[in-house]
Amino acid sequence: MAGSSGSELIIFIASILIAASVAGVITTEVYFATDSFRESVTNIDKQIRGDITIINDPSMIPEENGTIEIYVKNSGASTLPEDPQYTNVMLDGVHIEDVDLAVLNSDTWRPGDTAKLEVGVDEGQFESGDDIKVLVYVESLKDEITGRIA
Amino acid sequence: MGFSVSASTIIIFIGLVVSAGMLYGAWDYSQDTLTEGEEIKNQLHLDKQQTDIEILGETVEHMDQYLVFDAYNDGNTEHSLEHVSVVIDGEIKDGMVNEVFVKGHDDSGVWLPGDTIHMNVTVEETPDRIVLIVDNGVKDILEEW
Repeated sequence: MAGSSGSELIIFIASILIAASVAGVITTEVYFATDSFRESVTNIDKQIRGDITIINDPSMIPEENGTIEIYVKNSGASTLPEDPQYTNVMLDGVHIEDVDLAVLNSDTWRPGDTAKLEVGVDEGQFESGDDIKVLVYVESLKDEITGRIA
Repeated sequence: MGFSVSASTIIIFIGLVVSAGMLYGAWDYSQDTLTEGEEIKNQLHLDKQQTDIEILGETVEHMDQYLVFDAYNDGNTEHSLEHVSVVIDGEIKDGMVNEVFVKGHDDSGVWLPGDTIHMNVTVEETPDRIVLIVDNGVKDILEEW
């Protein structure tokens, strides 16, 4: 009798331990899943609220000594990163590495603020009057214009 | 034997209930955030469609490095004067704006529908093109005056 109740106790403890670990695994997995779900929703929300507009005069895009200036206005409802590593520029389909970003009259790139992008190109690559297609990505926000070099 | 089965069932059940609570919380959060974001986006789009500004060509004047002009808000949206940008002959002049104010409401910081603003910008030479841009990216281009 003592032996049977002892083995029942062992089976009881074992089943409780197994059940607890199964429940633990389920809740931790669900926790991680919901956490990454929340994070991706926050990112999608940023994309939905954000908007950028290139405000250059399309017929006169300034170029001087191998630097093209592109003006990008934050026309959305979220603050954008002023670190140029989040900004990608393509000129005529070619990705340009050398991009400098400065927000005008402000430290942070808040809604309504304009940033000046200085894009380094080879000198003589773009002549006055050349057609140019400019594509700017800030994080996942995009705007493009087709214009002419001043 | 029967007791250990029901005890472990309860433990797993509690785990499932906790998980369901977390899932519901995340779902509710995502619905709230996305609905709100969608509303803001629609509002931004609507605002853009209702925005109309016009540089008044007859008021443009260039004297001694100063370019002055008036612009009229012909749309249905208000704009912050602080975020009005001006591009002259291709170059942005946001740092060269000497004064910008709403005519008749000199201390106001918002450009309301029907208001006329006055701008004074330092420009060396008589320009050919003026582009005025408001905070939501809508612009007006003036080429000849």
